[in-house]
Amino acid sequence: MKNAPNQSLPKFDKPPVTEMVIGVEFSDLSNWNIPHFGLFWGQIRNEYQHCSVNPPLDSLIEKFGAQGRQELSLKFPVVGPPDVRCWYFDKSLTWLIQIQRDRFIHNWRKTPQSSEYSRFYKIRNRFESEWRRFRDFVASESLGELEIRQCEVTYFNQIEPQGAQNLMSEFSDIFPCWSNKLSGDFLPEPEVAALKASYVIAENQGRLHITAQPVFRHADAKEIIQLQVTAKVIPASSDFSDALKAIDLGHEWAVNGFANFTSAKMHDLWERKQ
Amino acid sequence: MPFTRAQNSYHQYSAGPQWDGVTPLAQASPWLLSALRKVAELANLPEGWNGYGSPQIQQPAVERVSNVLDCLSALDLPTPQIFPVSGGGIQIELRQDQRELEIEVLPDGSIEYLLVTENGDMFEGPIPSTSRGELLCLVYKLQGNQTAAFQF
Repeated sequence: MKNAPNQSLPKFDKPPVTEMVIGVEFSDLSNWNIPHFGLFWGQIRNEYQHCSVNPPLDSLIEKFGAQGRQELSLKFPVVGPPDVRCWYFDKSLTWLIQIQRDRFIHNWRKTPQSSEYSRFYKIRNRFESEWRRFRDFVASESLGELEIRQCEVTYFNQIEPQGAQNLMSEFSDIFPCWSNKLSGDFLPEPEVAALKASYVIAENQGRLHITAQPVFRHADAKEIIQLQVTAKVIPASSDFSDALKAIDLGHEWAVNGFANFTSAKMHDLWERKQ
Repeated sequence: MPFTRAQNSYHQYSAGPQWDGVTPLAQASPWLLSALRKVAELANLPEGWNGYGSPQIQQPAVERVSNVLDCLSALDLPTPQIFPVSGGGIQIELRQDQRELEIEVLPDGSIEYLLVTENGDMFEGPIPSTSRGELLCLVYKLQGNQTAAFQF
């Protein structure tokens, strides 16, 4: 069945997810230029009323074996127009489309108006229809071929402190891999620490990257723990149908990875159902 | 502080794919960490903090000023001074040589600036929230670079 939720994945009634991102990276659109950001906005402005400009994301393609771990391409244009990333977002401040000449990204985020986690398949369906609209625009403007190179699914989870004075002392409660045990009693609690791990997705199809760290949240000036889980998957071909399969695989790895990486105690708090 | 989002608070200067603005503490420079903690302190000021009935510092101002500080932290700058402003806003002051830049984040999250040069010339106006380019241009001028190029 198309877009059927995978029933075997862990489920939480109150997950700490605050933002979810689905994106694809493709080969540089050779004919894309600054005016196209405005032309595309004209097509979506009814739904995405606001626009802003940010620096472009670097290209980071997963590699294996003799090719190394990642192929990094930095965005420093030497000649030509500046390389930028445009954000288009709706007035509810819940949905965001990010575009640059090699990237299409769709974000959902939790807001006071939309505080329920919007489930993956809803976001995926929306991503699919927005991608088709972008693809049609690229074709109608003869901007080049959309050759998809990598797909990405990211969950940003924000975990509020449960009362400890020092955020770091909560790490071991949340992340079983962090024991906070030392070979002696000289060192105090760490002032700050970050956990960063990556895992190869079966048969070298991509990687799951997990980062857990204390962050300062701008919206309310609070120090919290943020757990970022990103699955990057190389699709079998540049066809969009293969990209969707890669996104589904990324979703499976992100959800299972999140459940594995966090403790049963926190699962109770987040009301794990399976 | 109630968690709401209002006009002008949604534009984030972002280097990554995340929409919500956050600053990783492990990567924050000492001055940024200290500045953000000052913002947290201001966010908790009670109503009437100035003795004249000023409202609390407003959430859009807190979010915006945190984002501006995060953006400025990529540059080699002197430690900024941060003050609450009557009405619920926050002001950042930067001084370098004989020049001064004041960035006032209003209660609704919009931004205004005042730049004073070494000659005493004053320039002021709003900073659009849709791009960090104009903010960076002002900082370059504070640093004495008169031909600051527009950067995204």
